[in-house]
Amino acid sequence: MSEPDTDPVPPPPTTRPAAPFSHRLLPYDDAGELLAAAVPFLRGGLRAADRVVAVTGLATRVLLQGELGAAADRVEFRDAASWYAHPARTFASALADADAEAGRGGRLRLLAEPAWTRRPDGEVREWQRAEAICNVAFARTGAAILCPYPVRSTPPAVVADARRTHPETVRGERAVPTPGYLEPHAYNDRCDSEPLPLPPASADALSIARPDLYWIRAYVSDWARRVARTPDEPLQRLLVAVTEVVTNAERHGSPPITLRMWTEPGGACVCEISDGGRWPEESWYGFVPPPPGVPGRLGLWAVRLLCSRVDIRTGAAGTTVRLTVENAHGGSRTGARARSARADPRLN
Amino acid sequence: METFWSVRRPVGRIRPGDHAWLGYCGVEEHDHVVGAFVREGLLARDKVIYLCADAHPEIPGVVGRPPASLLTVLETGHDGPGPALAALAAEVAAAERAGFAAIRVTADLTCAARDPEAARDLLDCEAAVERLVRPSTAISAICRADRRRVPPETMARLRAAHAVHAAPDPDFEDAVLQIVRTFDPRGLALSGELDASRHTVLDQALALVLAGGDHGPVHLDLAELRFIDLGALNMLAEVAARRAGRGPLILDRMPSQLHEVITTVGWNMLPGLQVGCAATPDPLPRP
Repeated sequence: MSEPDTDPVPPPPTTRPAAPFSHRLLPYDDAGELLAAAVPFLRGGLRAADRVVAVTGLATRVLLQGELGAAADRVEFRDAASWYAHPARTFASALADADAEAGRGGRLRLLAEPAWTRRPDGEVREWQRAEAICNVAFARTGAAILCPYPVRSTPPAVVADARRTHPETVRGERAVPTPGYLEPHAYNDRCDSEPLPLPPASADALSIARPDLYWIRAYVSDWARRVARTPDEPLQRLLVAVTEVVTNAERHGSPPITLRMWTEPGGACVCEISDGGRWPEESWYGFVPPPPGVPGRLGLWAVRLLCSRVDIRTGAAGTTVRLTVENAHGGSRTGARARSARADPRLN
Repeated sequence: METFWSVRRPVGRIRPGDHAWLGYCGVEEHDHVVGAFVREGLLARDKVIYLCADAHPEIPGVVGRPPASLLTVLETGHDGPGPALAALAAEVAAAERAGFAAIRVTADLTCAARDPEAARDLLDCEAAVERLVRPSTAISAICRADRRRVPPETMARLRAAHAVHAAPDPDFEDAVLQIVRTFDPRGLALSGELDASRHTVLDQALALVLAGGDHGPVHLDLAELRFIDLGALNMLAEVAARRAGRGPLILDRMPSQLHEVITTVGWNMLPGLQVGCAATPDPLPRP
């Protein structure tokens, strides 16, 4: 499977960012260190008439509001637990906000306190990957992003990776280059260095020899309804995702194309499409959203939004795309907030 | 007034014994449906009898100059529908004597239906046509009127007097997808499932709609569309972008599961597409 047409690195921005992009790590031990860096960051944004958004837990919010005083009213506070709902959707929503500000000649200033550091390993990895990809995707917007990591209450391995995904680290009001920072492609490859766990022996396997895509959907629907008991709404998202990935495999990949399906212990429905092709090096695998306002760019990126999770491995042995859809509405942690952020204003 | 037993039938499937109705909303719809009826008849060497108010009409679906034995034009005149009915009955009888296995009749009733006096006679004449066509194994008929020019109550009566309502033939139809032109509003009705296997046919059908029209909006009726893939959404967004500055592309009656998918993907990824009227549990009756 070669890289789909819809997955290139975005072209240069059409709008000139008002300020250079920054994505900084703020490792802190206590509230004093947090406030010493976060408060000037937020105040600076208010002075510059940026759109200032603070994604935090309750404790940090109370601290910041106390320190900012009346200025806190002009900061948009978001609850971190629900904001970090779904890596691709949260990413899309934040990037759309940043693009919108850049389009107006302004800037998004985002304080983003990670609320995911104690979630399951697989999900933590996707948020860490988002931290790395953010350096590529948000550059065109000139956004300023500051990520405070509480060193004492965060697993050391997560702090270590935060140093690999943030180009700069803040100490007080100074920012210095982060010594261990990894180029995003390198970090992305590192995330996928381990092979995917093997499908269970009980997985349902279907060899796809170019039948009409209609029959593949009929087969997946039947299996998902009967075996996985997937409700209609997540099933529709899964069908769109499977159709896209099989279409890519038929257009760019090599036979044999195989579809496997199984259910996870928690009830999630997994569809895996593998083929004999190999994607080119330096692919973003649909992690980098297309630029706004350019039609015809829905592809693997949209598949990531539709599924709870997408895992891709490509190499000499072929390519595997594993799509996971939770039976619950929307995905593992998707709150109404992340969804409504991109709801169509024309409908209201 | 709506008959319980009325059936909507694509013009290509109208058969002897069908006495059908077409309330069209302009030349484009008239020519699309009536043209197909006439063209199919002439190709099959059926007798075609074309009634209209104009003595020298431009008959849709006619290629070249068909022989008078095959195509007869009757002018409906201004003396009410009675004389026209008599002329029609005579032509039908002549065609039967000439040994035609199939006789296609299409009559434009717009002028008669606009006149309240004539409209009463018209319904009597319709009853006579019904008696002529329904038992026949040779005659099929499409009565037609411009619904923008006829009073609504007359239209409703005429419509109710026909058990079959003529519809456009699909632009494309197979076991998975059907694409049919719509004229009020202008656009396409899609039903079934749409993916990369059938992007080309949608592209062609859209090109026809876009080529034929003014610069107004183009509507896609998605009420019966069960699936649309990302490639087709990309295609629609590209079409909308190419039409920037002209009429938008409007998605009507979108099923909730399609709406949900697009909302998840983000409407900002599909600039130029607009949501039109909402899905309704019962499809709106078509004229």
